[in-house]
Amino acid sequence: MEPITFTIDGKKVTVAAGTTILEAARRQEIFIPTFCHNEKLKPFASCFVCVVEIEGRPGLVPSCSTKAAAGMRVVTASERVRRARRACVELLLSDHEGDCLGPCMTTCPAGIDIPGFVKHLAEGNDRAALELIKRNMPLPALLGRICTRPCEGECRRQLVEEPVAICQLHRFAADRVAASGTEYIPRKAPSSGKRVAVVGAGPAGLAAAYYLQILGHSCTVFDCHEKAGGMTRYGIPSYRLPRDVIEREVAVIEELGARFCFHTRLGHDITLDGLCAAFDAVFLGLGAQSAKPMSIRGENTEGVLSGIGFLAASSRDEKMKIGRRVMVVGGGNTAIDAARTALRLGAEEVSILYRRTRAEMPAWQEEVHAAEKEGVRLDILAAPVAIAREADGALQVTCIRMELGEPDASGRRRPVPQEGSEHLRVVDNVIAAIGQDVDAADCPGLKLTKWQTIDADLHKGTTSVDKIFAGGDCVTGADIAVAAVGAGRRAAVAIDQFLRGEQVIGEPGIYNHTMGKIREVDPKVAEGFEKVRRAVMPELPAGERIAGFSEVETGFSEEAVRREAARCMECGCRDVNECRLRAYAAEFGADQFRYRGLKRSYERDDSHGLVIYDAHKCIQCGNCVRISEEVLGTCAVGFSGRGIGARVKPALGRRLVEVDGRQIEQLVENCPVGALIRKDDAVAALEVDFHRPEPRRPK
Amino acid sequence: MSRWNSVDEVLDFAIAREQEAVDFYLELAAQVASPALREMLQDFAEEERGHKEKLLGVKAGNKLRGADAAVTDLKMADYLVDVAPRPQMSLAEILILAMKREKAAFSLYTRLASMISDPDVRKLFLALAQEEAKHKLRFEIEYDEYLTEG
Repeated sequence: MEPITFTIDGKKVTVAAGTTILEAARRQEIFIPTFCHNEKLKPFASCFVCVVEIEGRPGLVPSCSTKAAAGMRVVTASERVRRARRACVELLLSDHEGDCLGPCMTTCPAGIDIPGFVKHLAEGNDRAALELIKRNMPLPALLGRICTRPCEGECRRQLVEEPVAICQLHRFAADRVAASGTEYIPRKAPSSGKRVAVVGAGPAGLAAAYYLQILGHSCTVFDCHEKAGGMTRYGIPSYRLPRDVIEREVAVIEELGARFCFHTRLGHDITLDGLCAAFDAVFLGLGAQSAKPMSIRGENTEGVLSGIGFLAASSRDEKMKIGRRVMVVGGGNTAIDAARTALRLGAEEVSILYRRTRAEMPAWQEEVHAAEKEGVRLDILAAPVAIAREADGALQVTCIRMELGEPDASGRRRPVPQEGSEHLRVVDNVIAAIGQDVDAADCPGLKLTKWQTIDADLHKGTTSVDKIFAGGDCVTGADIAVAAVGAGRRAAVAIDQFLRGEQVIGEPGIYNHTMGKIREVDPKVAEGFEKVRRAVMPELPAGERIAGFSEVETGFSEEAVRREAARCMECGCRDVNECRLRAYAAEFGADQFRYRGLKRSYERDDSHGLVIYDAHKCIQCGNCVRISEEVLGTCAVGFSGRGIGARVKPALGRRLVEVDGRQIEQLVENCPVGALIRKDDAVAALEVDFHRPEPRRPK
Repeated sequence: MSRWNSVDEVLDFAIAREQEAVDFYLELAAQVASPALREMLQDFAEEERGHKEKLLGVKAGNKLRGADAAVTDLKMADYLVDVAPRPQMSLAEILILAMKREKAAFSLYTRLASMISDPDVRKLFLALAQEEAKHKLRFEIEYDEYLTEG
């Protein structure tokens, strides 16, 4: 046949007559997405993602079935084409049920690949588990003891019985590798010759330093305290977090080449201007280190302490004079830690006053229970309003009782004092632990919010000054440590981009399709799982533990870990790195909820020895049906039903298990999403190079 | 109390007080070191200006509706210690200062209402007191939010 000449995106192309636009574009390496096109098959033109614009024609045409014609002018990447493709992808997403990533992973503020590392632990690969954890979070032994575990709140295993003990599992991985005598030290990029000042050796600063060193930059970490750890060292007692655990993980960061300068306070020993002059970039991880005042009469009386001041002094083994009767004010973890520490320092009657209800206590409920078990009394819906010192040195505290008022405009019920509820209590010490404020007074020139936190981008850590980045509590206000770690890592990526003179866009946004929050998920996902009780963390007996500061939680046995890790349901899609739907959703910025309507229900068939068929993920591209007809010449699978109810099923009323192994392999290979997957594919670790954000473009 | 002979006189008094509040916040805004807090104080001044406008509207014939039910009293203004205006104020201190100002206004109007025999004037004072109680609650709620983390 005669060759013809036409243009694609302004480029002159000559092809044999009869060639489709898609084929011609591919030969020119011009990207056109498609789900239903397959070179082994006749054009199907059902997904419409491959549409292109032809000048002079009113509508868009599918490039997979439209033949090129002489003189035709084809446009493959106009805004109109992108919008149409996005709409097509969104239509497919609207009927696609599944999770790209495990909900635990997407809930974790540090984004740890939880299903991946848990799988390694189940298989006995502790070092591989640790390496995977440390890709996103460098302090697994530390956080494995103190994290408030938001991941477990979304663990789907709850639909069977209880969440997997994720946090305590990563503690095991870290402890195990450390005990082997050979710590895991990640490989570093070649030195960039750039220097970064990190202010604050808390979770945010440590994470930033760890990843910056790996990315090839040289960090100096400044901290006003005498050791690293920030609030995890000076705000969390050693019975929860032994100090050698902090030392161990900080030693890895030193091994990577970070320098630590202690006893160095911003605004006194160093200034922001000075750091900006001496370093190529600055990361501020200052934390939230100043105790919120109670602002009541008598607050400054001798014997009234702040929760964080008390815990810091105890952490430094300073001689603490604590009385027999101690009242702690507040409902957060600091309040609980202060109460339990007071008991260990010899107090006999320790109570916690909290002005709201137990359910609203921000403290971790397990810690509240542990405190009660040790003898701490909880006095909820109560608050102090004045403190006076009696002649014998004791403190007379005027307290009031609260009740929850009617919901206000925001729907929240506020604590309202009960009329005539004033009463006196006599104690030896009051410890105020009602929260922490950020003190960024020593950051002149930096834009602050009205809460006096640093006004920084939450994703990149960029601030109002070009070379200064910030993350963690000093940006968000007091929050959990794992959130600070995530912020430190994200800022490290942005700083790296800044230092290399690239556009500072931070980590790439990861497209994630989701079945929703745990309450919205079809309970059918739990079918087929046998109930297995969650492993219980062994603890020292209550009587023994209040005698000192020995670690209360003694750690899982290896046997318990393997069994616990095997409870993971492996949520998330094994096809996550290959799935074209996910890649195109990312490419076109699709929103899975744009065309929300009737959705297919969860339907898994794992009866076949080789594959799993997740019918809820099928997008009905027809590839498997056509492969079985046109290539294999069998009727292995076919469409059953019509419209939204249509399903791909083994033909002739057979069951999936009856489909021949070699045939089914072919079907799996040609499925563009994760509807048909091999059983022996491990849970996929998400292959995102967070340094290079371009979405991948599978053919 | 012969001073309060008419509804208009009461309104003029209340309008002048709102203007005082506007001036107070603007003056404090000019003093504080933090630009973000300065902006917040300017917003407070704007709110007070809104209250003044509302009262001017009442004077022009609009009705001042008191709250339908009693306004919740979180009583924070009762037990939090007084703070003096100064340049290095924190958000919490500004909220305490603001709620205490509203409380003082509420107490003043309530006291005046109890001294007045003219039922219209009395009703107006009570409605004004309710307004101030609402303003106080707004600051107490913001302070409550500030405390939620602990």
